Amino acid sequence: MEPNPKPDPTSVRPLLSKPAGADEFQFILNQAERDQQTRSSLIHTRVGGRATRWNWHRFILAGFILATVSSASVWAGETEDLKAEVQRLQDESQANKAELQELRSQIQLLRQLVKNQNQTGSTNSSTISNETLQENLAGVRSDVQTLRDQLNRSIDSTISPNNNKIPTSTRPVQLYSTIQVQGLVSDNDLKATTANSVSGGKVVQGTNSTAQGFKINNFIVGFQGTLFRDYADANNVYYNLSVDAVSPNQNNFNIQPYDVYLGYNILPTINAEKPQLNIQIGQQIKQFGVEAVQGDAYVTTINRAGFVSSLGLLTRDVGALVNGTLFVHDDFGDNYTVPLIQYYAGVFNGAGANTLNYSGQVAPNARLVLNAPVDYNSWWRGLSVGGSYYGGYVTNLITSTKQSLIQDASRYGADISWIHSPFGITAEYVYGNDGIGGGSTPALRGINESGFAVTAFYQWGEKYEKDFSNQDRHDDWFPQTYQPFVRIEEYNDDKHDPVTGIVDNNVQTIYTLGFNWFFAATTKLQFNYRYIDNSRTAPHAENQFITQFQYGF
Amino acid sequence: MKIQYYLPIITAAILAGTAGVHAEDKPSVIRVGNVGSGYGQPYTTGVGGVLAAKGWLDAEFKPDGIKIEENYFTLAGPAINEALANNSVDIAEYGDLPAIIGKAAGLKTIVLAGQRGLQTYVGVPSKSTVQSIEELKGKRVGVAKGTYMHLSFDRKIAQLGLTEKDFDLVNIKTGDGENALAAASIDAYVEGSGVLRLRDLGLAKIIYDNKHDPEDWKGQSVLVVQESFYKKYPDLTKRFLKTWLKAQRWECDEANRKESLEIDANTGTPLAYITEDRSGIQQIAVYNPLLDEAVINHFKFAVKFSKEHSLIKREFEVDPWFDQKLLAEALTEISWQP
Repeated sequence: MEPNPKPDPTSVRPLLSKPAGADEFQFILNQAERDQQTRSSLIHTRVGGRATRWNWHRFILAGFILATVSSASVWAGETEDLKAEVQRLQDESQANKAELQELRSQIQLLRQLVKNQNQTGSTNSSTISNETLQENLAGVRSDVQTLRDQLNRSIDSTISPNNNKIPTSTRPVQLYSTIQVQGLVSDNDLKATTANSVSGGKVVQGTNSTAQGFKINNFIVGFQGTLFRDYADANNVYYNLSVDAVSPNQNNFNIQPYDVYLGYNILPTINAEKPQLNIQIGQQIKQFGVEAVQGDAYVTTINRAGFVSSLGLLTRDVGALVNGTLFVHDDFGDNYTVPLIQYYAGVFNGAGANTLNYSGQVAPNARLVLNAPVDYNSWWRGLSVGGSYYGGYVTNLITSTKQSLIQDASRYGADISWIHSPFGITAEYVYGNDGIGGGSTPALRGINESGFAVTAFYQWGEKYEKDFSNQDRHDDWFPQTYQPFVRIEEYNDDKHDPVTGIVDNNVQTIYTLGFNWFFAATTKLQFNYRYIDNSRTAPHAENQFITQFQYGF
Repeated sequence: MKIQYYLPIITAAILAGTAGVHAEDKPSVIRVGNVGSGYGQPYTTGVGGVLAAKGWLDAEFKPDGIKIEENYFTLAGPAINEALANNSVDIAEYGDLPAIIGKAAGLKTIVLAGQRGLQTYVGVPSKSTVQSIEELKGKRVGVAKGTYMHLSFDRKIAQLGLTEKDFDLVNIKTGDGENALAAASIDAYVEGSGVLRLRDLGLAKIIYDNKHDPEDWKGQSVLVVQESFYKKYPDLTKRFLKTWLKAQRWECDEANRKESLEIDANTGTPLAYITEDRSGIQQIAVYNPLLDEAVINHFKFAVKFSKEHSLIKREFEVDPWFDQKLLAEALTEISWQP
């Protein structure tokens, strides 16, 4: 800290002749006042042409000594010198008084100038404002450039090998995730044919009992972005890379690739009213039905319908898929665009995630969706009808022999949905046909499998109004939304023994009543009650309460 | 345990919770829809901006325990139409074309007051050789479709003997459109005063503005209320309108011009460009709330024009849409004759 900085007597007058704004004059005025205070606390003396500071203490001390010496009449020979010194000090004091008076005059002058400047500024505000704005604009641009340079230098230095603290990328990257924490309570243990037991310090699950408690149900972290951005037509090259912690019921996480693909917008995407055509190559989800392709953020229930996993629809596969739209209806007055036709066509290995196909055959996948081409205000808005196909041949790798077993495993699906906020209803039916001879117990491979799910929900809150959430707010605002729903689903897995010819008709029916609370932009709390009527296993009925907290970033 | 025991209990609980939502005789909140800015700022321009800055609506309804919820829709008029359709806002102010499109599509809205004189610009990339709208024939022109700028542009090209089909018209919202123009990925962009910023940055040239065109060509905006809200809360609607008109009266006072422009600048558009946009235009020419003959004729023409140019699917009567009686009463009660 610098106490009482030495005033510079030349710091006032030169600035007086320079045009300045009112703020600048005020600053000078304040500075002059500080100078005055500073000078008031100092006595300047000049000895041999050099300025020497005397404070009041020294001045009083000198007077005291002088008086003492005079009254004592000691060292009479020096009295005259001391008197001369006192006289000189008094002269200096007078000079300082004159200087203070001059400073006061300057301050008065400055005050007058400030007043005049303010008056001038108010009468010619528009002219001065524009000129000043232009100057300020140029200054701001210069400052921005300087800051940009500084930031670049900072980043350069930060990412140097010796100081690598900030992750960087050569291309734009968006990081995303989905995490599900789930808790389950079931009454199945009470009815299990064999209760849980303890053996060797470990709990052994009983027959037909349901594992209960808390678990991390899903864990996905991914990156997505563009590898090439076409500013003219938006024929972009994009990518997606995510990993999933599969087998969440196990004691350990197995981190595996989830969605790993490269995409290209074959037709321009700059105009959403025009048809679109894209291709995606890599590991991705097969386009089949409604339930399987919904992102976790949009699935109404905690658990997807049973047939989704049983028929392998959720399993990622490696292949190439084209998708596009035709006959796009654009209601620009409501910012609503819907294509009459959405189509998907592709080929996959058919062997599951990141698994090679040794058979030389591929598994085709196709889906066609017809949407109601209507305005946003139409009652038919959100109505879609779809049909899906997947299969033909799929291969299963026999690890021990490294041979592939070719199986017929076709899947057919039909769906209809009407998502018309605040309500929505979806219905989906899936039929599967598996060839004989697959799996570790070929005799028990199923022939016909089918399932359906019907879901209805009502909601209050604006989460599904796409533009309502897209608002400018001061805080981390999000429209809270409450969504009760009901669902009935069934999965029929007809086991067929080709040797004996016995067909075991197994039907599992699940009724779900639930409530979703979207309480933040990427976060929801879900409550599901499930009544499971299972004709295959004993006992035949089970009640489950599941709570799930899903969040992401 | 059978499902029959659970379903009635849980269903009843859900229905009871839902039924309790509309139990009060006055709303706990009045939800206002505003056109947001393209710069990510939770502010709007004009009367809505002044009301928010001054807190006059909050002050009016706070004694009743009614909260004012301001919504600033980034995607402007079309987004407000969506919110009105979903009954997510009660009162909104937005441009003429989106209001017409919404009404034609079946939105049950009532116009309470007006505003006029909104200008439109056409900018081209700085290196473009295009100097007129005619030279844009066959080229890619960006516009936020469904906004008042869209209607103003269509009226101008109609005067030139052109239609939208003569251009490759691309629907781009404000922020994206400016970026596209700066990157020269479109041949022109139709928007408000935001293009002035690109001009000063050397990224665009302005080849047209409708500042000196007939007043009827310029954009207008309206304050609308949901018919259901109006019928349910007529007194609250009138109080809202009176407060709105007080702010509009404040806007019309030339003494408040500087502060008015500064409030508009909260949206992120620099004050210099707002000032330039409004230079030479009287405040009353913009903030006159009357639904007078000029406004009615503007909307009647706009409805007919929009139908002819396939912007709407059906025409509707403009006169019953405007509640002249309530506006007159409100003006009388605040002793203002603009």
